[in-house]
Order: sequence, then structure tokens, then C-alpha cells
Amino acid sequence: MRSARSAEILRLLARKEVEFIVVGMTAGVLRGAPVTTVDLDIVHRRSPENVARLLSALAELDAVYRHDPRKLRPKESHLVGPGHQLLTTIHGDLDCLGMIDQDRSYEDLLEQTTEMKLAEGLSVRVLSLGALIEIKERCGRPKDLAVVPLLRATLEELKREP
Amino acid sequence: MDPRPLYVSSRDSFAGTVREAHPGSSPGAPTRYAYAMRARRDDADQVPAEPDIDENGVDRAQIRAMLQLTPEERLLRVEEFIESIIEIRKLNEERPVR
Repeated sequence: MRSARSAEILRLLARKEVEFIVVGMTAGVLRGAPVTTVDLDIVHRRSPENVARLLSALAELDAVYRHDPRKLRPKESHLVGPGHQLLTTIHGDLDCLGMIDQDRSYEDLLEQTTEMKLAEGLSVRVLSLGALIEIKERCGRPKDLAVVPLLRATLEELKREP
Repeated sequence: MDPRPLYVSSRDSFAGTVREAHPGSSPGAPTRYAYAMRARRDDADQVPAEPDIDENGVDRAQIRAMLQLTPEERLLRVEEFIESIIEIRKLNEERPVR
């Protein structure tokens, strides 16, 4: 079996010991929702040490801002802030989010996550389906609300599983 | 055009075989009518189950299929689907299908 491209990004982040949480629809996919997404969203811990590790991983991934024709590279000053850094890498698009859901940081989200094993020796922290649904509902944009029934149905099916 | 006779006589049609030699067929071979009736009988035995779609239009069977996969297999399935769409779009870049 070939490896998923987003899994390659996650593998590198894990190898570099970056502290992050997979959020957005990739979290939904990992939790079992049959949805599509074209980018990987993560919320990273914004401590100087972790940002340094993240920058090292991003350099290896050849990450640049995907909406900027100058192909600017993310810097420490970008990643320590609460903003959203929308990047493209050799393994696809990656969004490094300082905060989501108005003002929730890595530390705030931590209790609504669990570690998921992706492969032998590779575990990543993923937002729970319940938390993802709450966030999508609070966002309230049509694109967020559109996926809520599917995420809810997935949560119900998960609860039915033995 | 299927060379088998549609029917030979009403009796033969019910019997479902060609009694006499016919161009492109042979005595004893099933008629097209017999084939069609047999297919209909078989279909009646194999009525597909009703799709498991909930009140929001969500396909629950699709969700259960995803849950059978490992997390990485789930990522891979989504990526392969997207890649196939991109491939189709590339094929249509020169002569877009509208």
C-alpha cells in the first residue's frame, strides 16, 4: 500500500517532534467520515521551541505561502502568532493555524483530542469528532454547516460500534 | 443482432428451446424470450437491499465502510479519489466538457 501524501507530512512532523493537533476535515476523515478535503489543517503549539521544530519540518517540506506569487517562506514571527498560515508543500497543502474557533489555541483544544495510530511508530493527536462538530456549528458558515449531518452520522455509527 | 430466434412457437417459447434448426442457432438452444424470462426470474431473487440513507440524505453504509479502514487507509481513499478527479480534469483541459 502506498502512503497517503498527508500522512507523509504527519510523519515528518512527528519525526521532528512537533506538537500539533490535526483539525478540520482531515480530522473528520481520520475519524472515519466519508468526506473529501484537499488540505491538511493543524493547530500547533506556539512555544518558541515548538515553532523552531515546526520551521525545521516546513523547510524540509519546502513549504511556501500558497497564495503569494513570491513563494515566501513561513518565518518564526508568522508561526508564533494566532493567525492562519496557508502553505503548500512537496506533499500537498498544509495550513498551520495558531488558533481556531475564535480564540482556541493548541493548549485549549488538547483535552478534546486523542492520539491516533497512523502506522507503526506513528501516532498523531487528532481533534475528536464531537469537538469538530461543535466547531463547525459555531463557525456557522454554509460550507461548515453542510458537513455537520455527515459528521453527526459518523459519530452515531462510531457509538454503535462494539 | 442476436441470431437466436425471439420465439419459435408459443409452445416452444414456454418450453424455452428452439425446436428446429434456425440460422445462427441450433435445436435445443434457449430462445431469447427464455433468456429474458430467466433473467427476470433471477432478478426477482436478487432485489438489492434498500440503501441505508438517513433523514439528512447521509449514506450510512458509506460511513460504515470508512470505519472498517485504518486511519491511514481512510486518508489514502480520499486522496486517491481527489487524484482521480484531478486526472479527469487534466484530460479535459484542452477540450473542456461543459
